[in-house]
Amino acid sequence: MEVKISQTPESIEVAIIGRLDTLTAPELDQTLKPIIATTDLLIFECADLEYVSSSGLRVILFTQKMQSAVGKKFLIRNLNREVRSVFDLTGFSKIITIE
Amino acid sequence: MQISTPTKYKSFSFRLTVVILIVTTFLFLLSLFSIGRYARQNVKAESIQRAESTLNNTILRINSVLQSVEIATHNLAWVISNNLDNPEYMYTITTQMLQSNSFVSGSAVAFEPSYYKEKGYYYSPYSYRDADNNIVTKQLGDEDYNYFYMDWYQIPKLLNKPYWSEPYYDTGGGEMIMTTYSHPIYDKDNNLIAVFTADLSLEWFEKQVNSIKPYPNSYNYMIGRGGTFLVHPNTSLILNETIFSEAYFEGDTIMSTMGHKMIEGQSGMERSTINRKQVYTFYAPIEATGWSVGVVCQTSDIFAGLEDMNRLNVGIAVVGLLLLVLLCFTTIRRMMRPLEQFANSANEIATGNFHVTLPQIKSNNEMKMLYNSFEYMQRSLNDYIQKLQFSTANKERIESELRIARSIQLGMVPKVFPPFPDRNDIDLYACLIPAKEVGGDLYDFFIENNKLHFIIGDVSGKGVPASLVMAVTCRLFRTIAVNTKTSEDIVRILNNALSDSNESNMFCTAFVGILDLTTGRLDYCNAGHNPPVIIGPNGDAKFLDVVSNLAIGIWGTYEYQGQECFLEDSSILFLYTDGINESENHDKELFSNERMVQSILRNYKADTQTIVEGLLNDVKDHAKDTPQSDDITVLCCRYNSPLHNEGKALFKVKLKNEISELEQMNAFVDEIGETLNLPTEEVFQIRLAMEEAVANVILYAYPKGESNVVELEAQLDADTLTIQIIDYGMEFDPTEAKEADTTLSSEERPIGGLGIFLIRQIMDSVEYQRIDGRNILLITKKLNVNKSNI
Repeated sequence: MEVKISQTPESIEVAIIGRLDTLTAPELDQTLKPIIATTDLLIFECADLEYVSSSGLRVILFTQKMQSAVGKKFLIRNLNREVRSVFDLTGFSKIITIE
Repeated sequence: MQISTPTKYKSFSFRLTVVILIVTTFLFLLSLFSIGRYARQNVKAESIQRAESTLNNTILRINSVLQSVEIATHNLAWVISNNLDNPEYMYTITTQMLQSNSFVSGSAVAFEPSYYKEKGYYYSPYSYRDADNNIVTKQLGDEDYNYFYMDWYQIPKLLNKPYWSEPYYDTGGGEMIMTTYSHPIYDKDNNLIAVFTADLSLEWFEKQVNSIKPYPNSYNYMIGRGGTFLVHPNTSLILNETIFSEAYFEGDTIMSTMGHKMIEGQSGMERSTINRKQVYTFYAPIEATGWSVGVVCQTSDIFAGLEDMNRLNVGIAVVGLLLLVLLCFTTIRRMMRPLEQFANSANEIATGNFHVTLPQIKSNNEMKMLYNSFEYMQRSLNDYIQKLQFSTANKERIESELRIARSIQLGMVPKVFPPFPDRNDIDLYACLIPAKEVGGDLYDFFIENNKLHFIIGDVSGKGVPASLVMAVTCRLFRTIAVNTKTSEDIVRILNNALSDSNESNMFCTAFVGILDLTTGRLDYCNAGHNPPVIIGPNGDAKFLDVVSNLAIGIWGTYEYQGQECFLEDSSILFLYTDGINESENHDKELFSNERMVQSILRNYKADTQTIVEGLLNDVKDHAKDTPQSDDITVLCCRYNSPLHNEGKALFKVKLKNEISELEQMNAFVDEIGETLNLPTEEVFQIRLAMEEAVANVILYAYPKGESNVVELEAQLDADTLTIQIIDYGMEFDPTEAKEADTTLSSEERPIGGLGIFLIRQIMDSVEYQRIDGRNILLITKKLNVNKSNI
């Protein structure tokens, strides 16, 4: 997994490339720690996210919880079909804004 | 079939004829013997009388002649005494003698020497007959014929009385054998002056004697005072032999004794043997001369008539017996002929021809009784056979229907074995043997969604009613099981359906199971049936733990309770009905559960068909000739787990319990995806499910710091991918973990609990097993596989 962070004054875009699984989720978690709850809008750019497992979902849920706790927004973009289906299955589609 | 005739068969008529023949022959012989004996006595008496009377007549005739000679001689002697003075007159006297006595051959008056001086020393005027029977005279005495010393002259002179001389040959006188009657003549002073004679030729006697001819071969003889033969057919004996010399010569003492009696003047009869022939000799004396006449008659002559009669009698007897035999044989045979015909009719009837014509009996006797009995039998047999045919036809119809019913019933259960020839995970054999044509046992099975659905059942009762319930149950099972997930539900619905329409109160014990062929999970529900036997891979046998539910068909709303267990690889599930373990032998001894299990264990490593056939043979040996009393049904199934069979695993990897090993797992998934040419979506799902499961094991299965392994195996069976995740850690069933509630808001949702939820969602099944200290998680997914890639 590779993470690319691009920042604008209003938002931070985190591009997640590759697999977000048990192995890589702690890495994302570490990467997000300084960013999370600091920007009004946190965007996960997932066009190149190939895979997500429950470990990845946990990081995403944690991020959502942290952003909403401070009244900030969080959204996920460009999920591919397979990943989207996991979000649907787990009910994440209802609790996380997905574009 | 033919009535066999004994080899020594003798007909009734033959036997009866033989008996009659024997008895009649005996009677004939007895009467012939008696008649013969009586006739012989009579013939003998008659022949004696006849011979004696002939003999006596002859003797009488001879005596009368001799007497007349004596009288004539006596009279003429007186004439001679008165005419002594005329010597020439003597010729007249002798001639007169011959003239008045024709049988006298010669007569002489022989004077004492020189009685007439003028006539010289010898004077004996003599008359005799010449060859022409003329009476001629001559003077007999001279020097050549010195009669003074002859017997006929000397003996009467000495005896002073008349005398018959012994026969002699008269040389110079009669020139023949003769006897002479001599009468002495005395003067007044009683001095002998002459001897007056009359000659009788022996030829005359012979003629007289031989006139006795009582039988053709009889002959006669005459002996003189000393026993000398005077008359005899053998002329050489005459005057040469005596009866005694002849008896001596013949060695015949009877003849000798008889000779003495004869010369003593007795008369009588003797039996003796002459020339080896039985003869009777009758004898009587001629008193005047002291001679004796014998008549010899051959016995064969005497009894010739008798023998003829005997021959005739025997001939009559033989002919009579032959006629009798013929008559008896034909008569009895004719009388017995109906019997033969009856026998033939009986044979005909025995071959099934009841309308055979019986012999016509006109007489009113025992044969008529037999005829009546036969006719009655024929009629009764006919009636009986008709009834029998009717009931047999009925029975055959029912039997034929039952046969059809049997084939229909047997056609309702699967009976092509092996039923799944292209599957390695299941080896199944079943069999159903109704005790009667049709029975109440049932079994059925089929595979749907890689799950083996099966039922074994036993309807109460036997025969046709049970078979109908069986048929209904079988069909219902098929219909219900296909659309029903659990065994419990199958039984419940089955019970409901059967109870609804159960007016005859029949019920059915049943065991219904669903075996997941992927995982070995057995979901089962027992409705009052015998608990099945489970044989483990190492031959450990146990009865499956079953809840005692009610049999189906009794109570429509009964709540059935299902159970579950896991079948190990290579274990055997053995289902049966009580026809096996309660099979009885002659002594009412049951086959028993113990024997059943032993029998299964004997072959447990062989295929299921061998196991079942071995068991059925054991049951048959136990029952021996006791007929099968209950339906027998067996369903035997060996489960070969596709997961436990290492040789069959397509993919296999062993990981350490480190989180970094997930890379290995990813590579494992990639390999599966590439090998099976799976679409990205499926690879994604497989990866997700495996990661959730494997990560969980790596993180939590072993105590912290313990280094251990996690084994991954994957196998494709048809279109189902089975993945097995194995660890050796503490027992933990992730399927029992609390699932995430996906309806909660982001704030409410806990961080964990998604793993098992995800697996359930994306895979088709998730099973957990704890076997031999291993946690085994089985997850399966039906794939859209392009099989050509495998």
